[in-house]
Amino acid sequence: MLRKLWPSNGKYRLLLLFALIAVVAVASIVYGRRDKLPSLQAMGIAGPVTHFAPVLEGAAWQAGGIDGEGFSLAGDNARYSLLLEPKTSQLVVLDKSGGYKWRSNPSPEQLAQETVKGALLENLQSPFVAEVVVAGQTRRTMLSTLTKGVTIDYVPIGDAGVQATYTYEKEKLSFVIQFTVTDRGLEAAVPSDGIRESGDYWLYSLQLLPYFGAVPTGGEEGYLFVPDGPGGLILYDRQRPSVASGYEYPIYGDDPAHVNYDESIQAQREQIAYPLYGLKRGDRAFAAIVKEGPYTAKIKAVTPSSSSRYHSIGISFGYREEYGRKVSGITKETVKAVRKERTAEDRRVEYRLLAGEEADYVGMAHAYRDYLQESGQLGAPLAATDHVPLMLSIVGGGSKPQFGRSGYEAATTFEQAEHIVRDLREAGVANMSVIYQGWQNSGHTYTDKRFPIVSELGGEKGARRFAQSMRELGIPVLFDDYMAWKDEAHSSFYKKTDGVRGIDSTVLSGTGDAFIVNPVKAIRQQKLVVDALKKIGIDGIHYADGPGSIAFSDYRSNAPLTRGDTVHYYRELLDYVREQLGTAGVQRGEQYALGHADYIEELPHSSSRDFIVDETVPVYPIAVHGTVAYSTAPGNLRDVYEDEMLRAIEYGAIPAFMLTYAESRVLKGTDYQDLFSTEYAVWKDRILEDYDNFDRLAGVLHQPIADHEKVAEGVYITIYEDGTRVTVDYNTKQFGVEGGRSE
Amino acid sequence: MFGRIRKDLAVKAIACMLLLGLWVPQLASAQLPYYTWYNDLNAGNIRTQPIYVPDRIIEGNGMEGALSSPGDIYIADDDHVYIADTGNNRIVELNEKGEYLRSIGREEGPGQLAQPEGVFVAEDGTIYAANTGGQSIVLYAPDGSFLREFKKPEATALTADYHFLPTKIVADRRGVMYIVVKDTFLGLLRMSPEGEFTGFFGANKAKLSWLDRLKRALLNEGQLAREIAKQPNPIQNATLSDDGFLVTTSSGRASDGQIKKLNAGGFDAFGNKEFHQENLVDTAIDRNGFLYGLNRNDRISISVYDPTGEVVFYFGSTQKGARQLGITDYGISIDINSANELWVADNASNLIQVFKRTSFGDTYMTASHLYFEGDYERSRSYWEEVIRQNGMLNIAYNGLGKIALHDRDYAAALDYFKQSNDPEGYSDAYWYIRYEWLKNNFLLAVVVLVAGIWGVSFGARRLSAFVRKRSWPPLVRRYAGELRDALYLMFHPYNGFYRLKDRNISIAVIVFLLALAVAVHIWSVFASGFIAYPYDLGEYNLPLSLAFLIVPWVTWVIANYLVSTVKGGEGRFREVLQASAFAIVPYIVITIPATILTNFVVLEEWIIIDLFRQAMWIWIIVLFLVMTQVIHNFDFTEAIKNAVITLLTIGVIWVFATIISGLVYNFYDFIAQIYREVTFRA
Repeated sequence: MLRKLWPSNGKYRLLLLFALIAVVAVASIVYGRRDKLPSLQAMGIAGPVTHFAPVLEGAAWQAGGIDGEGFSLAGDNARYSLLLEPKTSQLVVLDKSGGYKWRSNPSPEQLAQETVKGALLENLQSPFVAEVVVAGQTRRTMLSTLTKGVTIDYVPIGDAGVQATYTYEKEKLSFVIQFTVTDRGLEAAVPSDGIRESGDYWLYSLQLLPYFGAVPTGGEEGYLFVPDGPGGLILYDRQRPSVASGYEYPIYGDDPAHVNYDESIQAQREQIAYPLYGLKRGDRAFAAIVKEGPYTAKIKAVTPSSSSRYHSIGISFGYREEYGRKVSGITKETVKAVRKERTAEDRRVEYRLLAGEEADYVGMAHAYRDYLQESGQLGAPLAATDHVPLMLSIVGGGSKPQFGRSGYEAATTFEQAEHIVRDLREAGVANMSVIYQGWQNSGHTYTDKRFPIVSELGGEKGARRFAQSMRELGIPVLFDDYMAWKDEAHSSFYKKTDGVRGIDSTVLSGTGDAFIVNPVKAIRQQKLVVDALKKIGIDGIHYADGPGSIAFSDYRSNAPLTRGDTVHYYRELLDYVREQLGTAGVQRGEQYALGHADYIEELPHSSSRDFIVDETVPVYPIAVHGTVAYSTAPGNLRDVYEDEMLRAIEYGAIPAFMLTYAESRVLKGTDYQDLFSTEYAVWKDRILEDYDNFDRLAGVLHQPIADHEKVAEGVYITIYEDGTRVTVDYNTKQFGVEGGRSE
Repeated sequence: MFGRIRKDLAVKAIACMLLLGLWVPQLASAQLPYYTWYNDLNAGNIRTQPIYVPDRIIEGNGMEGALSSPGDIYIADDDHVYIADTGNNRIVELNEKGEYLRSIGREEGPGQLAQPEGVFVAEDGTIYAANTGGQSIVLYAPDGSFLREFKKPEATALTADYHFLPTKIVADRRGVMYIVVKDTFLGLLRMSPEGEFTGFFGANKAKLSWLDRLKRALLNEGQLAREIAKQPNPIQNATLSDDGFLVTTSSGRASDGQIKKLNAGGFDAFGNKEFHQENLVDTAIDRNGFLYGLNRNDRISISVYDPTGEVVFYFGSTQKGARQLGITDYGISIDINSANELWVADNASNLIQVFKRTSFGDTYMTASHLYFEGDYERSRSYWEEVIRQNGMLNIAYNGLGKIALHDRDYAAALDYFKQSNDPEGYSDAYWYIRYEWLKNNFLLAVVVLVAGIWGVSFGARRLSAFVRKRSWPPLVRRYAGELRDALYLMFHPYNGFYRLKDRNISIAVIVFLLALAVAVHIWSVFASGFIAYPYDLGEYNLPLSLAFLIVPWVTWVIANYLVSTVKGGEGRFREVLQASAFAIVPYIVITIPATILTNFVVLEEWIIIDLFRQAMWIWIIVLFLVMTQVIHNFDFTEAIKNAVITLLTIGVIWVFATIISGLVYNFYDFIAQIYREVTFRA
């Protein structure tokens, strides 16, 4: 049979042979490239499930008794009443205990003094400002409750509030906002299902309550609170450079999928790590928490300028984005376009009203902490400890060019790492954890070519021995890893197929060959990492890039992911790592990672140095202290040594160092060459000194921060729940710990 | 030339590295909105901790109106700050903290300013304003009262179309004014204390490309006049240093000397050196001669130069609509006060940024200052502190090396210089070591040398006697004979190559010779002294250097055979191959002693090594030439002709190879893309 098929002609034989070889080659390539990653099911991870809040239907709300300004009661509970002015939907939240009124817009008396006209004046009187675009165009127009052709329908939400449906006749557009009064204040929600676009107009963005509690220029004491770094205050009535009259930044930073890395070159800044903003006026304040839909929202603070007399802060929810669409694959030219699909996300903001003692940034932080606790997003309280843990990052080494190729340069072998740890233990560092870096086979950062562990460091055997002896000492060992950005040269993923796609549906490209790997694929790969590290006896993974520091969308057409979906997968991964290995660490620790990580490296601790921000305050540290251990900059890599040590103490951080056994110079040429001083022998004395300093705060590591204040220029006090007072003086470079357990 | 290219690359690399910072969340903490880069001694740029941190801004609170388009900033000896507040038609004086003291030039009448863009304060307190809008220079007494005004001076050199728009001004001790005039290539306008024109000063010279030179040589005057005139960079700014030098700043690439340090005679202490910053607008100079250049439009905003004009640090960042401390939008002027604070006027943001030096910056600058002063002893503790805070910087090790040299601890100096990749320092230290060794062991050295030579020659004689006595297998005899021929050919090329004619040298010997050449090359890289490769050897690209040897040789063999065949040469391919292999014997024979010698000579004697190398290459070329002549039985001129054609053919082969590999790659890419497309869609 076979012989019959074998052609007698030599030429045909050759042809057949070639054909066979080609088929085998293609088959083997396809087989080699098949999806070999473990499945999400094997890791027990389910995809995100989205529920949309219902839009109420029912009898129209009947405005009851109308007061002198046209407001009538729309919601009521024991502490607050919600009053609504039906014509413009302006709101007043009445604090029953003192009769204080929080207004959604400037009062009629204030408006009477207004000099602006037209749309600006209309916006001042509306509880929202919507931006719309005509399909296919990018020019945006604004809509408010005073725009011509708007009809408003109200439906009551039990006793708590009303649902308003705003319908624009000309634009053939309608959306729903639900206002309810809670026992902490006011909640406003924009259900995704309530948006109807039946004409040519698309909803672009929605600024919700932009003037809530707005403070006119002149006379009032207080500040706007923006979540810049650990927290920033914008004081009222300061003269500022004209460029500094606004603050408008996206929560969790720009979505990388929306950034054109070829063009956008911007100065470094701290991206917003938590969705909180606030305002203080006199002895009243509010803290606004973005509970749903933070991933496409911007926090917008405005100080008085030519277009407004008010200090105001609000949130702007984005529904579509403008982007540069590439005209062809050859040129880099782009035309501006607006994304066609609307972001499908519910939006919800809660205004927690504060009075008296609590009416300041500490009160805002506490309100925020309460919210995190109530919603189960905060980790369990830490256990009390006798000694503060030292976070010891050890850099194994890295690859650098060697005789025209790449060679690994060891900076700290496993044996040397053990030596460092034992030496520190003997010298009196009673409690520490180790994060080991640079173990990945490729010798690079942002890699996923990890195994076998670099042999120059001791290989898997060395790692196992190291883990073993650390276990005997009771010191947890984490290995660091990278989840999001990859360099194609050091990645097993294919940029074209595995990289996330940007808003213009092309593969997102950073500088050079950099790309972000699809989070689902990256997470599935993590199972292999976890399994391998488990076998070695490693206690956890520290994510230097990925969960806690970056959230992005993926616009691939077959399985798109929103930032929220990515966050969901990241949380699941952190839980998986904790379940399998015991510990998970993250960088920055943005809000969504709280409760899923045991350690946060470099919690946001410094500001972006905006002209507009007058003071930097530790709101985020106050909100999370006692539930997770966090550090600021590694001690040996501080910009200004003493000040940053004091800041870490003021903010309740634990000490951290990033060390090598060999001299720092061996890292020259590797991905770690920015670490300008890491040699253990050079730093040992200063580590011990630092540790002694931080150890004085060991007693408060598990406690919430009760208060924080500036007592004089450059002098700050942090007070913990048990009354321990930590005074930090940046003038004399000293600090003191009084009261509490240490006395 | 090579050094310049490397520098250019370094400067370009900076932009790339800054870009890198975009997507890579930095391992080191990013507490500042900008990075600080260090331009390492004999190496590229590396990131370090900041030497300056943004401290505060001065935007005009309590200044009787905020600043409006400030054009110039000048810090007097008492640290009082004078700002040319252009948009507000005044000069503002602040105290050392930046608190407002007074405004000058606002009163109507004589001395009222119109859009002043420059200000200068003399030692005696006289205030000079470059009153740009009023086209004059205005002088005020220390109390702010009007002294006198100078309009455009009368002089034949200043024609009617020379518009006197003064933007910056400095005055020396005698009161002679040096004025920067807008949009002129003629240099600074020098004016006597009485307001008389005394000539132009410090004009830049347009840099001519080789094309310009060619044009100048070939074209006649009429044609030249029709060419667009090459204009040099106009001077942007001038600053007076404490020791009386005039520092001018120019932006652009049309001429070199973007920063010049001119003495009274107009001589540039930097020798019209090219600074690799195109957008410099102003330079501040501190007491120790360090310069701080302000850049506009570049990603980095401030570059710091050592007193010799070499760039040391880059920091700061620029951005349109800057709204962060430390980020400038449109920097226009920079100055430094006695506390080493840098004050930068931002013309677009209408504010002054103040940068404060960090303790690391202080330590570094002090150490560096003492280093340039030659006060090595005092710099020691500073360098040690620098190393304690930053283990990456070569210059710190270089400083310690110089100290060790000074202390006559030559072994330590040698090590330090090696660490800092400094061949000169290494060579100096080595000279002393060698000198001392010879001093102590001269007799021993002579004895060893004589004994060695005798021993070797004796050994060789004994060995050859032994070899001759024994009977060897025929194969070994043949190989040995062929190798002997190879050596013989080195010194008797005509006879040597003639012996190769019509004879097949065994493949083993050819391979052996080629392998030996490769091995010797590799060995020479590792066995050479530090001066031969004064950097981390890991950076040496071994495969590339081998390719540079092997590829030309292989193409020579092919091209020579092809050309000679066409031209009627007699040589067979085998003959060409074996002759070409024999022709590289000098490479093997000379590289070995030259490499050994590199370990024992200092930089001043390096000419010996160079002579060795050059002689070797000439020798090899001559051998190839003779080979062409003998193997193919050409006469001398024919041989030359053929050698030249062979070289051309080599070029053609390379061009073809490049084109074909490009096509093949494109084809491969095409297939790969289709494959990807298919797998992606599947």
